[in-house]
Amino acid sequence: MTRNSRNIALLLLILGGGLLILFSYLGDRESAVLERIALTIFSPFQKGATAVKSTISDFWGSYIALTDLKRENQRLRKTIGRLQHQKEMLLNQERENQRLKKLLALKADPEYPSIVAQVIGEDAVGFYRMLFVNKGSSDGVYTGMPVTVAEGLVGRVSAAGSSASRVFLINDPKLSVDCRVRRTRDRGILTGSMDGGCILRYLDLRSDVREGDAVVTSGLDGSFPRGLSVGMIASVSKDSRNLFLEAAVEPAADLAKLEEVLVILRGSVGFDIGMSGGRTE
Amino acid sequence: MREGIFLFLLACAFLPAVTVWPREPFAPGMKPDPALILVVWAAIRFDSDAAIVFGFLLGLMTDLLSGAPTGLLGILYCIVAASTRYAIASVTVEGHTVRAILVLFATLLTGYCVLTVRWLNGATGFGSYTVSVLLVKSVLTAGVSVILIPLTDRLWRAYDSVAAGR
Repeated sequence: MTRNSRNIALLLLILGGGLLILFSYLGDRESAVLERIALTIFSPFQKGATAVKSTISDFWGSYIALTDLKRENQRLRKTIGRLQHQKEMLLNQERENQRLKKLLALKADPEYPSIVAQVIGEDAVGFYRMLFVNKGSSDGVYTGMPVTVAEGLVGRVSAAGSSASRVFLINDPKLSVDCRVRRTRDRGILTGSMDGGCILRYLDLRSDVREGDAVVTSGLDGSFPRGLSVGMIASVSKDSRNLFLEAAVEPAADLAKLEEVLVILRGSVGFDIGMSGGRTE
Repeated sequence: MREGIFLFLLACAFLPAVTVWPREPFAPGMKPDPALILVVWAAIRFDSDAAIVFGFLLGLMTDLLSGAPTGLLGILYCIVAASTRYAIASVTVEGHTVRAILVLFATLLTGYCVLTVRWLNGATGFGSYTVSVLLVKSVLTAGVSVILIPLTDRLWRAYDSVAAGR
């Protein structure tokens, strides 16, 4: 067979095949034999390829989604952390605001000038009830000045540096305050006790003091202004020698949770103990 | 000289921190006394002179940061340093337990002396509560010493090697 004859035969074969496919496609769809054969042959491969493709696609999609989720999770965690921090800050500021408002109400009392001080430390060894505040002699704070909060008396400045002072609390045995029982007007000396409480001593045996009576400063010691709230009587008993009554006093101020205090400034002569001096009880 | 600088730095780092610690983890007064642990550590680590001088100065600084009469803790810590040196010369002070017991006795001695001074000054309210405060405080201090003494030892070794240029 010559080269031309072979080419013609190949052309006819291709044309014949093409026409066969064409006619089988144009006829009944179900009778497309070649197509069915091709589908039968290729469908397992197609299914396999599709499965592989979908697996890869799913895996990739999941990976992308997980990466995004991880990123989003991290972002949300950061956001939650930041919001929690902000919430804590706001709550702290709100609490501080409330405390300062109370102090300002007390500070607004025109009778005694005062200064707000922040608590910066406490006793280093634990045997004394005292604290350090961030105001000293450069702010006009000197030894002996009373320290209060809105709820009541806190203590007295025992030493003043230029920018910090040491304050003994009323529940330390080192501090004594002349007090009165508001209802009965009985006088007594309030001192701290080693067990952390306060005792009002030297009350008259005939006194009618009862549990729940309010105790205020008398102002007679010249160290504290008259009428400052000190606490409430928790119990009353006779002293060891049966000469006086003594009362356990629950301090009005929460001495374990002080953050800001008010130092009442006074002159070198102390407070006026006359009838006109002191606040209204 | 190196000992002096290290002890000074240690005192400056510890004492202000102690005043801002939460005061009452259990009840009023029940908190450890790390200054006393440092005095015992100095007595174990250095010679008598350095330990006693350190004890006195640290006690003085603690006096200023507490309500104690100035000099009381200075003298007490000085006595603790001397007693610890005496104990070291008499018995073998090795191991955490022995050191913790040493700290326990030192805290009890110091606390008892401080409370006696308070009592002599007219303080009232001494009773089972005060005794329990002292006991818990001593046990807490001894417990803290188990961590603090080896830690301070490591700090000293690190500082010593850096200062010596090794």
